[in-house]
Amino acid sequence: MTELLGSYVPIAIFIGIALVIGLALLIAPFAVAFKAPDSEKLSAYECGFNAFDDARMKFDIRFYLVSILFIIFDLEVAFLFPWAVSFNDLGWFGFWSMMVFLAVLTIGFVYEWKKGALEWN
Amino acid sequence: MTAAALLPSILASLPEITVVAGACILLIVGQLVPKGQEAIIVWASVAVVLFAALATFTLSGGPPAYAGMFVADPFSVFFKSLFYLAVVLTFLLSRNYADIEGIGGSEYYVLLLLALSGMMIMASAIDLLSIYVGLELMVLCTYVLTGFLRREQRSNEAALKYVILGAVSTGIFLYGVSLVYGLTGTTQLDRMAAAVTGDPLDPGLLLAVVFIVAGLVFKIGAVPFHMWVPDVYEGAPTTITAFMSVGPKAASFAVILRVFLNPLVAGSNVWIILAVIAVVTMALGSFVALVQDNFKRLLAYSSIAHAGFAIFGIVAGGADGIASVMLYLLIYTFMNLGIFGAVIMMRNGNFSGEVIEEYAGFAKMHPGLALLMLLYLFSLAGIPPTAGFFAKFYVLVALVERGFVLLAVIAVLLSAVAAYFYIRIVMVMFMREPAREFEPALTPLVGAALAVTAAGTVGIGLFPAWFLRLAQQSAFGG
Repeated sequence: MTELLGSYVPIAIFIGIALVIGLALLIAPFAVAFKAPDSEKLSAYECGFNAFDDARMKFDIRFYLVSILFIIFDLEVAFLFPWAVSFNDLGWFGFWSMMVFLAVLTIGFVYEWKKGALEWN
Repeated sequence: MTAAALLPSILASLPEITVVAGACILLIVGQLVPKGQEAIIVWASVAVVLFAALATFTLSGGPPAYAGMFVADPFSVFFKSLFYLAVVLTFLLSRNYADIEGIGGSEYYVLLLLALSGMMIMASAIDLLSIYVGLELMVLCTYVLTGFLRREQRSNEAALKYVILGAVSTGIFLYGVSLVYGLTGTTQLDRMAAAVTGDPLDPGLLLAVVFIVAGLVFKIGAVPFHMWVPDVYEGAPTTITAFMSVGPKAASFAVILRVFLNPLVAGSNVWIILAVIAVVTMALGSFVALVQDNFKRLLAYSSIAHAGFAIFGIVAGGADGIASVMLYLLIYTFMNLGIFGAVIMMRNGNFSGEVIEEYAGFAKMHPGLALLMLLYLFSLAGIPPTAGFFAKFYVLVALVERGFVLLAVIAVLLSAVAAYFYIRIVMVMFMREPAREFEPALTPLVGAALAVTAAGTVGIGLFPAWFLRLAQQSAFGG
């Protein structure tokens, strides 16, 4: 049992360090930061929108488009990393599987470029 | 996976690969085609489907591919042929309709091709996970296609409802799959049955089966998961409604047949649930259709009623039951695409073709076209000698042979109710005086589609035994 729990020691250390760093960053500004509050700084941060407003407002569809594109290519990278790390074990099958995946993504990319989804004017 | 194992898998799934690759190429080519040349896209899409059909017929058979997730057996070939037919007819019907409704662009055809590939995967899938992948591929495309009339509120509303309800049902299905995996340790349909050694009425297993049933029954629009059907069918572009009522419905039936005839599910007395669903579905579809004024809504309820009738075939089960459902779906594809083709043809100028009363006196102005609609409507009602009669007849035979005489009687009584609302349309067309001019958009492509569906409706009615044998051989690999 102690052996099993012992294998979790690194995780416990990791959580401890994370707590220390997090708390330090939270508390330090109270002690050392330069304070000049104004209404903008004190309002809640809401991704560029007013914090208290009608939720049913129109905003540019391109925000939506860009965020969707971001998610797609972000996921692609998240998929590429483990593939690259274990590339030696995957062999040619793994290589060509990823190439097919990237080819499909590229087709999507060419399509959106051609459609003008990347233009902002 | 080694190269030696990969090659048979690629060969087995070559039709699907053809369709997906064709769709990708058309997506890019569609951006380069100049305005006014969209006909090229239609013909290229038809060519892609024909190539896939060629690959299907030459490469079928062989053992399960992709580590037992996928098989190209005669059962899947039958359903894939049905899908090819439905998609090609939809292409033919769409060309002119898309111009009238202002649905430009190649995306429409590309999405139909991708939906087709999803349906094909569903027909070939023998693992709950590959079923899920095919299902999602199919429904994601149909969600988008439902909302293709961007400027029309009904279309947007239909698409939103469809996405939300569809996502919930898929979630329920997936939950059932995960329960099955937890209980049996596999998602393969064959191994699932082998892994169950204990009591088939184990509550966990029963719960899993009920979840899977609920998820799949949603996709065919059976009660109590039918709420989306009328709204989605009414709001979607009529061509897409026509496609959805035959293609995705048949694909879901293919999955249901595969899952439900699995010993695991068959052993858990699930047929009682199915019998109840079948009766309630048919009753609701038939009775609610009686009061509809909108042609598309009426056909939506009619498709609910037909789904109920086809479920009776699954309840019967066994060799005859499966074959009767397959034949039913084939005949339904012909007659339903036919009647939808007629509605699509009527959409011209400021005439929507959606209100039944507007068809008053159609027979006086266009007797030929009215006779054609009469043929489809009689077939949908199940009046001999049209194909629709034999579709119902073989399901009833299968039911009676299994001893479900009471269910057969209920099915006959409810289809008599259903016959009333089809014949009401015939009355409006033939017995009233025309109040307006009709200008059906009978282009050569629409004419060809109507000719094919009429030939199917009459042809299967004349030679039902040959088509039944085809279905029987496909069901059992003969």
